[in-house]
Amino acid sequence: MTRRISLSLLTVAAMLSMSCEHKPKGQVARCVDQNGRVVGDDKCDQPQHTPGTPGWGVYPYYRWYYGGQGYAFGAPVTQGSFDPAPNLPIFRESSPEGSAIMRGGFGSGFSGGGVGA
Amino acid sequence: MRRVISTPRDNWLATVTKQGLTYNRLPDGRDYWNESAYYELSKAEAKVVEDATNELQNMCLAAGQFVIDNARYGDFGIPGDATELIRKTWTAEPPALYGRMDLAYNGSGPPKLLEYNADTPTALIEAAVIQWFWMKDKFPRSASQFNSIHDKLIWKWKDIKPYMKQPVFFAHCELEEDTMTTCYLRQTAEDAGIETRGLLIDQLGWDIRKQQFAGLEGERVETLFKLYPWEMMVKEPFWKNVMQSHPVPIWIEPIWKMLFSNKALLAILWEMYPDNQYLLPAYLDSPKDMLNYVKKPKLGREGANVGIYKSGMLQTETDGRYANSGFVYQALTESTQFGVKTAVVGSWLVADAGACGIGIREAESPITGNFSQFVPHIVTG
Repeated sequence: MTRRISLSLLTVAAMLSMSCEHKPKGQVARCVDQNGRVVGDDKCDQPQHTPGTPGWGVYPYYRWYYGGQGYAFGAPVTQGSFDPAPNLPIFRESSPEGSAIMRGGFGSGFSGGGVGA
Repeated sequence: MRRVISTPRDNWLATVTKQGLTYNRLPDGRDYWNESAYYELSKAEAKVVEDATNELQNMCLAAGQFVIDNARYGDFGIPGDATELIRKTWTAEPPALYGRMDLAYNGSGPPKLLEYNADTPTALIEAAVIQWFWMKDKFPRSASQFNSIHDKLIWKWKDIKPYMKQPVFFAHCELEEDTMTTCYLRQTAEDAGIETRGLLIDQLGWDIRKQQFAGLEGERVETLFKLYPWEMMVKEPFWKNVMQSHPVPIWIEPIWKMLFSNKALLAILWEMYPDNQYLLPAYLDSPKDMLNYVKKPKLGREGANVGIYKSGMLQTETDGRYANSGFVYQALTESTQFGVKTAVVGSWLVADAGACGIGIREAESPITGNFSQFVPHIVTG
């Protein structure tokens, strides 16, 4: 029922802070259209019309959006930026092998409150 | 069992923060960790909690089988397309790790089950680590604690290690308590010799071409601990991918925990074991003939949407966002009362290791919720 203190528990407090330093830090780059809605990465990889040219507005039709929320195709992006945060690695929605990877399919139930019980 | 006033340690806040309790501030600005008091249990009382927890666990397992055999999923509000995976994982028994039963117990009479947080239990670091170090500082030789949570978690990771593909991914929401809880569990896995990787739950990927879940670098996810509840997952876009890719990844906790982490379980248990000493009368959809009862949402959290009725009249209730999950009506008990304080005993279980420790949270209101404080305990005698 009760127990003697273990060596692993003696070290766990120090290890906790180390472990949490390994928590994911980075920003996901998502390709969005002019309405700020997520589209496939391939849209941003394709050559685009030069911004500012007549008939094409100030910004390109498709561009990268960094961080924030909104991952599913067609979802609006929020709380991120069109400028990548400095010194944070950027994760593309395409893996190094070129596989198309969707993200954000879980997590919408999190609204700032805890989901633990 | 009694509540004892105590003098906090010098620099207690810095101490508990350094030990991992970095989420100490309650929404009302008070401290979450409260060592200006502690609860003292005798060895016999601790054994009562341990025995009750283990017997309740056996009853819950029987209730799970009962629900599956009789297709009672509708009582839980579980969507139809989740039931097949629940049935499959219940039979296949993929790895499960832990849970926390909330018990009403003040030392007089048997403990009563209030709910079972079997899918995403938190308040773990304070129960497993912080209160242990508090006891070693305050009572280095004169007391003990009902607490082998840490050692049992490591034991369980070692136990299930042969049945999991590594690395084990650990996913959570970007909230301090959830982050630290997941980091702690990740640490216990690493202490068991398991390779781990972390990511946020919304960073979990689905590789469209390979039809598999993917980590941050596109690697295949074959085992994933998630501090994110199944009842939310089954309503979100990747749920269809969970069904499609089954049985990979191995999800910890497994989806059958939906049967335990839902307060409809209380009514099922009462239906199966009427008058059992560890249960309170509980019913689905109406209080039946009870006059003093608690109305609880089936999928509520942190005391939200709870109403207390006496003589059939509403005495107090909390608001929240869980009112649409249906309700369970459970008889009111006074065995959470310690003077003006309402205390709930969180009894921790590790799978196949049984009851392994407690953490006590208390409130000044009759409903414990996200304004509750964690108060440490000792075992004497």
